[in-house]
Amino acid sequence: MIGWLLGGLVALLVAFALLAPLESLRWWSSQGSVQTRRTLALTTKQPSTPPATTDAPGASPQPERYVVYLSGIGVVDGEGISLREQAVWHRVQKDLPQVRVIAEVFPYAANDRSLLQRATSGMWTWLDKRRYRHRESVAPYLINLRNVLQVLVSADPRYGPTFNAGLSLAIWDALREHGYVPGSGVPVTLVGFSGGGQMAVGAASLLSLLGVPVSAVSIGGVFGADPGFDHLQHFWDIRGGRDRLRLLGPLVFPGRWPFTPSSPWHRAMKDGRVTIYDGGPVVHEGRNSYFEGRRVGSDGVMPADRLVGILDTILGSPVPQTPLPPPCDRTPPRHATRR
Amino acid sequence: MPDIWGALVASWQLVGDVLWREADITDRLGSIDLFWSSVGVAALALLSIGLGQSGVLFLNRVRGLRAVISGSLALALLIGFRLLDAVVTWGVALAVTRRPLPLVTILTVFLLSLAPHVFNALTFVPFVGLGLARVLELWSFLVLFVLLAAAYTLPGWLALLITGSGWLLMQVLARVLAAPLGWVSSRLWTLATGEPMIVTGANILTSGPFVPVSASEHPLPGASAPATGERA
Repeated sequence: MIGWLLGGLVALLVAFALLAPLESLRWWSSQGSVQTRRTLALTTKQPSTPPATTDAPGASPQPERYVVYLSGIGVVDGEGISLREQAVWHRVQKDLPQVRVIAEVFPYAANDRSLLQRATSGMWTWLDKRRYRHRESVAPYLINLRNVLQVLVSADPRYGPTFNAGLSLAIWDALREHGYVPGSGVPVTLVGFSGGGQMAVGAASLLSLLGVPVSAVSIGGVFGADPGFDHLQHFWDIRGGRDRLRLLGPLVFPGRWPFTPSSPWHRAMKDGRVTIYDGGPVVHEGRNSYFEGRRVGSDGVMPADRLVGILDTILGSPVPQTPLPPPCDRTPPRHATRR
Repeated sequence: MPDIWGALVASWQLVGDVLWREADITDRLGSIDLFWSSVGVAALALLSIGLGQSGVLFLNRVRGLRAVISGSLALALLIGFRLLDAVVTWGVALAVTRRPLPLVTILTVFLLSLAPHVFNALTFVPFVGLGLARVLELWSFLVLFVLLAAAYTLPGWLALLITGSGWLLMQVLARVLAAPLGWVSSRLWTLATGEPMIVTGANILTSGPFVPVSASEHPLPGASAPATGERA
């Protein structure tokens, strides 16, 4: 009996996994390839425009930097980030008024359709509510499973290019809605938490081709050696000391293994485009995680305070440009180790 | 009236025998019954391979004549490369052992080595499927090595040498032949569809259906000269 049950669950899991790439492949074949080509063509036709200043008459001021936040695998829509995450980003926005934070992109779909915008939205809504009311329930992990499979789709060299193109276009649309001027050269930093780390790196390629100076921050991110690393001006990796889940990245993705020195990840490391931050003694999610704002950690520091401090340092400083200045001119920030 | 269902069941049982060595089939190598059962095993493997590949064609909206051409071309290339693999390895075995085996025996060995590929449809699972594809190839290699050793009554190290040499030669040949095969495939696609199409060497080496690129000119964004390559 148990054998049949387990077998059934495995079969269901395999079926779920086999269906995972279909969404992005279908999007690409129906509209994605045309949309991508059109966006690329429109962007390259427009002349490069300098950033608008507040002094110029009729000019709408652009921020000095855009930040797009891509949350972890537990989200059901782009705006459904947790209260802890919202609190951190409110503080960052307040500390850095010259930076515009966008936290509404759903990273686990190629067509920016959140789980609440589908025919199955009823099921996802029920699961989302259930995990807060019945914390011991296993069913809501279906949300995590579905989104983890999309992370694997993004990391798969067969499906990743189409998926990542879709996510890039969704981010591009969000940037335009928030006043981003194509060709302005205003830098954009993608910040990914957990599975959002892979999504941030994956989306970098097309954004870079659209003329966006793109960099990325990973907060406990799980990511592979995506070709997006070759398009990132810089990558900051915030690592929690007690976060075991983020170790899945270097374990599962061959491009992160030490004996694959020619992978995009290792190239970025070798070029000096990777900075690693100590995120403190925090776990991956929940209590005492990166976004914890109610309990101090074992080192006496509130994790949310530390995270806000690190983000303020990263986002408040200019993005290191490649080619990089000589090492003696670099001042490593606190908690940072440049690799 | 041939018992198709019975043949499928027998083939599936033989897959289990081969993969998990539940029954010693090596003393039956060379029998006609086993040969036909091994054809069934190969058919199951090709079905599994075709199942996933046809999904790719469907999602890329390749239907009708183009789907038939793509699928047939991929099948022909897959079978062709496997046959070439068999001939090359048989040639190496002949050169080393100086013993020609009956055709039925050698064909049975190579058809049975396809048994792991009945799980090929699972290689479409994102990311994990890539590793699984490597595992299936290795498993197929091991089955070939075991059966070849039994067929030629060879010590393990010699059978491994022959199987490994055959594999290596095949890798070189595949890369050498990819470009001319791509040229021939491009001509076939162009004749069939009436549009100039390009099939690259990389397409050939995927051993699966592919969507060729149209050979029309399309200006790349930012480029001053037109470049070829527009997704058909």
